[in-house]
Amino acid sequence: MQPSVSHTILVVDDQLANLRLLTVILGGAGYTVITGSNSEEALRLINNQPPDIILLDVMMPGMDGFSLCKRLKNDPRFSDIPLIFITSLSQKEDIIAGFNAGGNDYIVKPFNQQELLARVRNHLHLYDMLKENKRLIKLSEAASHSKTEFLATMSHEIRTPLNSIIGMAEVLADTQLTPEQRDYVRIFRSAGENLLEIINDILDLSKIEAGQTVLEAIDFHLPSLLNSVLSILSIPAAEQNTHLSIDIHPDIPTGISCDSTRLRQILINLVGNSVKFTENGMVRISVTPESENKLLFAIKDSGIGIPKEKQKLIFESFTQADSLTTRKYGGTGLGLTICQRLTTIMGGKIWLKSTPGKGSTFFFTCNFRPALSTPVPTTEKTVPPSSCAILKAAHILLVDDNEDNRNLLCLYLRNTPFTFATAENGKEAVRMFKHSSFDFVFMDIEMPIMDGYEATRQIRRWEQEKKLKATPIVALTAHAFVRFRKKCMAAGCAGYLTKPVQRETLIHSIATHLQMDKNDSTDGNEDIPVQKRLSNKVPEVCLDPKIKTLLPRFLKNKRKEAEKLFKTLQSDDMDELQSQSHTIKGTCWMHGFKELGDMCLDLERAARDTDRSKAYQLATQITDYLNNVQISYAEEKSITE
Amino acid sequence: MGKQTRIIIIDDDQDACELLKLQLEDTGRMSVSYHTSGKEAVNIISQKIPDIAILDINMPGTNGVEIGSALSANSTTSTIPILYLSGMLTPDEAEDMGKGENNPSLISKGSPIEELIAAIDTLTTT
Repeated sequence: MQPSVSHTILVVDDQLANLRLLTVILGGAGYTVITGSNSEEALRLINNQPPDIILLDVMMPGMDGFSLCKRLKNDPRFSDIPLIFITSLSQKEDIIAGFNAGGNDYIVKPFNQQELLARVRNHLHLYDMLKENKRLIKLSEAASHSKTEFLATMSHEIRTPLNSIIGMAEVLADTQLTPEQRDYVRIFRSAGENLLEIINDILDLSKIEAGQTVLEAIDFHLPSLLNSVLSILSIPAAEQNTHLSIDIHPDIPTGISCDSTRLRQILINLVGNSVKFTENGMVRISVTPESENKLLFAIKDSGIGIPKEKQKLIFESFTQADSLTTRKYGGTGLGLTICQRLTTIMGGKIWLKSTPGKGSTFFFTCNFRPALSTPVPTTEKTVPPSSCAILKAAHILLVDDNEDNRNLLCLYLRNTPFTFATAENGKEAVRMFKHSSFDFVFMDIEMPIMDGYEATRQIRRWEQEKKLKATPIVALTAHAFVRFRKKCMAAGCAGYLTKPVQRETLIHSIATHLQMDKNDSTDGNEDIPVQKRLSNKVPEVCLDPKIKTLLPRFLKNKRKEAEKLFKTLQSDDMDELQSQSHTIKGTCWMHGFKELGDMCLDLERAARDTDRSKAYQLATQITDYLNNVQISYAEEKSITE
Repeated sequence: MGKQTRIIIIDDDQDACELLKLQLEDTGRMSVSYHTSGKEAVNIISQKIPDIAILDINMPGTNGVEIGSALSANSTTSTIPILYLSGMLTPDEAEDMGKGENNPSLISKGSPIEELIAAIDTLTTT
């Protein structure tokens, strides 16, 4: 093994001849050699630049080698540096004393050159490994230390832009698109949703593995919980033409107590999985008593089944039966791992029986006790949100420090009967809330200046002082952790939505909290069916036929310029936006696009007033206009006039 | 048919230039050339000495008012009538324009073409 050139050896000896000899030997072997003629000088050199190994004479004037060694071994900065005594003291007692002083090795003069080099090489090798190990330990400690923090941050940071991606796709899908474009939008939207699912799964698994999952014992109605799982999966099951059913053993009490959220999560995962792999068949959930305090769940399907050799693997992270499965059926491959971890912490286990081609049965057990109270059956609202809800006018305050999010929320509310205002932080929100009357508030939680908790508390306090009815405030945050939800509720929020939130969910939330359903509508004039809001009016313009030839290029240029508006909006350069909209406006007016020019004028003003959400709305309107405008020409006689 | 009115338009928006060229030349008594950069505008106008210069006020780099001032300051171009085109009058723009010695006129881009033609006629016949 070639010695590394980077290794530095400190040789300490009071005899110049010894120093020379060792320098020649070690230098000749490729090491960098520094020398000291006494312990004090050695200390100075070590302090200055710690060597990789020390060769130390024992008998020296002043501090002897043993004392220097003890001193170094007691100093945490230098204690790891290998130290070899090289001395003419050859008595057994001396050698023992040397090792007791902390020396790593002991060579008696006269020494054999090859032996010396071999020992030096060995100690350097060990020292290198020690350093590397310490480095890795430090790294892994740091990593484990920041894991929780990292998770919370990642959850937030990834969800925020993802919110925009999925949301914009949703908004885009509502615009006028060609079938081809519609298909592209569908793909990028579903890719976004898929990514979100993966992130949620990874977060979930990490939380479980970090031991952050705390079980809650809740009394609930078991048949209701199973029904709700079924109703969630009824749509994919119908698509697969697969029949879902439930069978609960009569000995099992309807009211039971365990962590219903986790139980539900396991069931959704397993039943969802079975549905995914079963076409034209059936999936059956059955529950039987395993013991006095354990339930046995079995989810049996008539799907494709799992080959024997794969059955053990599938509970491991990121594995499905094979990679082809992932491509065909999607999913993260984490669902079953999560189920396995969850059943373990719930005091149970999970296993499966499967015959390829005939189907699989997943079994799991979990601890439970009969409910102390008598939970009543709950029926899930299975009607898809807003499918037939009638929306009434309401004034909504949107609070979010992230501009993209505000814009998205505004876009979501476009073409609804809702009017809205935006605030960038809690303080602004509280101020605005006091000055105009809002029917509903969407409150971001993490914001500079004043966060959503404090803003909510202040609004609640003010309402109480003024003896006003509590306005629904729904927290809207990228945090998926339960503790945030609890904190929101404690601050006085009426609800909690996790970003990315979909348009339907958002509108549904408003409608639910303001109790807008068909029976509640009092003023017929204000009622606008949700479906109707999506039908945009096609813009029309009548132009001078003389300019016909200029139009293709005009429209192409303006579309390009409208795209630039969005880029400018993104970079938040309001001066530039003002100037861009000003330029577009002039040409639009000149060409006879009065309405479009007016939109640009509004945009110019919105940019001047740094009203970002309005600017965003207008830029979108302008783009819509340019993409959809129907052009007609004035009577031909105008040419001859 | 009388002499053609020679017009130079300076506007950074080529669409606007093309439109005005088409509309003004459509009258049959105007010939229009245009440039989309304010930078070379003064040079070009001093070489060609048009009957009237139409300047867009709001342009990146050298804006219309700066070009107008330079033209007014130069003896060879100071007599050329200037018509300013603006997307919107701001107080600053209006104030700056008062400084021109050519008694410049200003017309909004939103005005109908007839008004622009009338303004050109007024400025070139006085």
